[in-house]
Amino acid sequence: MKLPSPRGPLSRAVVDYLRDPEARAIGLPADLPTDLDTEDRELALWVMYELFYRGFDDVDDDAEWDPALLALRNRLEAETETRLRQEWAASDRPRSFEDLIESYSDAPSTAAFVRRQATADDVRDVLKQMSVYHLKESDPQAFLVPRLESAPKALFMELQFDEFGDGDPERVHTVLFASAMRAAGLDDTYGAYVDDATAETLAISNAMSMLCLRRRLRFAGMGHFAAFEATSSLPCKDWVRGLTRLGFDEDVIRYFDEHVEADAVHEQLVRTVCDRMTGGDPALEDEIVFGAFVCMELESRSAAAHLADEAAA
Amino acid sequence: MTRRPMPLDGPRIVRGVGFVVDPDGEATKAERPAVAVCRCDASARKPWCDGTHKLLARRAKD
Ligand code: FES
Ligand SMILES: [Fe+2]
Ligand SMILES: [Fe+2]
Repeated sequence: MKLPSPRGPLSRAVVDYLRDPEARAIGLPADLPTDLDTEDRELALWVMYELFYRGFDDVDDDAEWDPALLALRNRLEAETETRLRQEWAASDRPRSFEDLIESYSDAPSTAAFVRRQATADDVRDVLKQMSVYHLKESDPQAFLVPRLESAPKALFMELQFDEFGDGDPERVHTVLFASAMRAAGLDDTYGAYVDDATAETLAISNAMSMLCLRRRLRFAGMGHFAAFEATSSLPCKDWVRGLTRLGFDEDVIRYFDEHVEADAVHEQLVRTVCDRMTGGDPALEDEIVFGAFVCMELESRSAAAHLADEAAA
Repeated sequence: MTRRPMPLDGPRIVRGVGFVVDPDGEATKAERPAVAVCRCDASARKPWCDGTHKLLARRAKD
C-alpha cells in the first residue's frame, strides 16, 4: 500500500514527513491544527496507525516508532479519548452492556438498507468503506492478547483462532472479505479505497486501533469488540437477504453467511472474555460498557451519514 | 443492575465435537472448534444459533 492522498494540513504534514526522510531530520511543525471531527485529522491518525499494521511501500519500517509521530499521536488520542468520554458522560443511553446495545436496535442500519432498498452500486459503495477495516478484521484485537490474564486469554484465543481461519488460510476472515470484494467487482488490495473513506469510516478504524494499541484502554477495547460481535449475526442475515435479492455472486454472500454462525459463537465467547477480564469489578465493567458505546455510536453515525448521502444522491 | 455482558437465553457453546445430531437423528458437521447450538428452537439454521433468540427476547419485552 502507498501513502494516501492528504486531505488537509494535518494529514499533509504527516504524509510529507513520512515520505521524505530529510524532513524527518527537521521534525514535524509544532503548531499543527488538530480540530476534532475532520477527515483530515482522522486520516492523519489512520496513517500513523497503519505503520503498526502493514506499513506503506513508500515509507521505511522504522517510522513506526518515530518519536515525533508518537508525540503527535499521543496528542490526537488524548483529544479523541476526552471527547468520547464526554459524549458517554453526557449520553442518556443505558449503562449496562445489554441495554446499551439493545438501545441501538432502532438506530440507522446499513444492513437494513442493504436488505430492503440498496442498489448493487450502493452495496459496492458500502463494501468499499467496510474494506478500510475489514481487510484487517480482528488484527487490532490481536494486540490485546499479551495484555490479558490467562483465563480471558485462553478463551479469547479460541475466538481469534476462528477469525483467523481455524488453521485454514482460505477461511481467514480477511481472506473471505477480500474474495467478496473481488466477486463484487472491486479491488481487494489492502488500502485500495482509503482515498474514498469517509471521516466516519476512518473514525471507526481509528477507534479500534486506539483502544487496542493502548494497554490502558484494553477493557474498552474488548468492550468495543464485544459490542461488535454481539450485533453481527442478525445484520449479517439482512446482508445475505439483500445480496441475494440483488443477485450477487456466492463469494460475496459467503462472507456474510459465514458471519451469521461465526458471530453467534464469537458473541458468547467474548461476553465471557469480558467477564473474566473484569472479575465483576464495577469500574472495569464500566470501561467495557464505555468501549461498547464507542462501537455502537461510531457505527450508527457512519450508517446515518451514509444513508443521508444515499438519500441525497 | 449488572453492567457486564452476561449472555441472554442464547445458544449453548459446545467444543470439540465432530457432529451435532438432532432428535430425528440428522447429523450436521461442526465446521469450527467451538459451535453455538440453538436452544430457543427458532433458528433458521438449526442446529446452529443464528441470533434469532434475540428477536424472541425483544418481542417478549414489547
Ligand atoms: S439460541 Fe440463538 S437462535 Fe436459537
Ligand atoms: Fe469475522
Ligand atoms: Fe467475529
